[in-house]
Amino acid sequence: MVVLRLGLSEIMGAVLILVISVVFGVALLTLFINYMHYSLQALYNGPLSPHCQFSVIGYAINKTTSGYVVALGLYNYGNAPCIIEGALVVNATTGNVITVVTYSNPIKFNGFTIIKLNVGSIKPPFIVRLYSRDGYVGGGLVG
Amino acid sequence: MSGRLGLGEVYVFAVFIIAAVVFLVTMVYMLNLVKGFLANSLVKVSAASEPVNVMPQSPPALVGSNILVNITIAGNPQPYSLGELPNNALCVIRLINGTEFYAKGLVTYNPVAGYLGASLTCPLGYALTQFSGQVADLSIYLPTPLGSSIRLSLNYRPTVRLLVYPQSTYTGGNVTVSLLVLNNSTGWVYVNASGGSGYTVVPPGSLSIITRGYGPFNQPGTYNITLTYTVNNILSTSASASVTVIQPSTQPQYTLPEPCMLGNMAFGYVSNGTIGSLIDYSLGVYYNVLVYPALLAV
Repeated sequence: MVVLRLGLSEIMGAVLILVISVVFGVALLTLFINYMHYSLQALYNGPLSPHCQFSVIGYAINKTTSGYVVALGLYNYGNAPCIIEGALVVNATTGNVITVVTYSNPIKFNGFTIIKLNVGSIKPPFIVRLYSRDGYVGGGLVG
Repeated sequence: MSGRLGLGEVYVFAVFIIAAVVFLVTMVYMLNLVKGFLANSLVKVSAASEPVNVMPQSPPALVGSNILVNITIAGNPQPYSLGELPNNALCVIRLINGTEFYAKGLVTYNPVAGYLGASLTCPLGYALTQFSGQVADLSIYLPTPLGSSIRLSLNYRPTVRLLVYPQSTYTGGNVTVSLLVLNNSTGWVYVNASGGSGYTVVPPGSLSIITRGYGPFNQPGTYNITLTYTVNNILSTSASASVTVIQPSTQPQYTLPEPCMLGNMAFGYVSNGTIGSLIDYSLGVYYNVLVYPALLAV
């Protein structure tokens, strides 16, 4: 008479399956959580991150003895301070860069501010492009 | 062999269920985040492209060194409900020689049903005081939470003509003086002429006529009529015209001039409320002018 003893094998089998399943499940869950974490991190570092966004809302031009001085009204509607380090003055017709203006003391602002730009003998109309430290570029047509 | 589930299978199911729940919850959270971001961006883009009607609510006032302007902003109110309204503005006064004065203005907003009210204080009163006769316009730039701007302009140099009808009359007669204000600009004009009450608003690219009656003139002679008017409640100036009063007699030595006939006009226009049909044939000389406000002038 052959006695079939399955008890130990069943338990071992079940435990084995359980261990494999748990390890596999935990590994899968870890991968998924990591994926979500990095995806959310990218989102928070990208479009949802605090960053500077500004626009030129208006301007005033004056001719002085040393040339034209443009006053630009800027509004930062982003959620981080804007730090303007320089500007390009671009020909409104050809798109060629006429001159580069750099600020030795970068202009840092939240909300509304008025900045001055001395463009020398460059007559309006021209395009001003302002560059912020975090890469945002804003500006508009003057004249 | 038993058909019951063992403890191991229950654990496996529990782990799977927990994993599925975590997965679903995370997915829903992630999707809601992206959905909220996209919806907010779409609303902003849509709102930024909505047209906005902006106009002064009342004439600007010079109070001390400040210019006070009340503004009405109508249209889609969505752009202004997305975030905190900026309380600063750019004010620019331009003189006729091109010189521009600028300053940071202060704004307070007052949401009203149907529109948004804004009260602006511009510290440029000194420019108006010092260069009152040379001010061309005042421009106001209001930033919005979306980064766009709203511009409102007030024109201080409308074309003004004083018309008298008739230019000659008998003793005891009356004349009508009309102040024609042509606003050929993108700014708004408020005009207040002496002898009346209240302001007449002239929108950009339109004209308006203010009439006053004078008389009766009981003595013969030449009378100079001067009408003083203010533009945008700040600039005060005057325009003059003369009236000849003639004594009637049984055998008159003088006759009144014949009224101008069609085709022989000194000045004429047919107005439909725009300036498109206005043609000035003269250089300030008007003879026998009759003005029918908003209908016909010959």
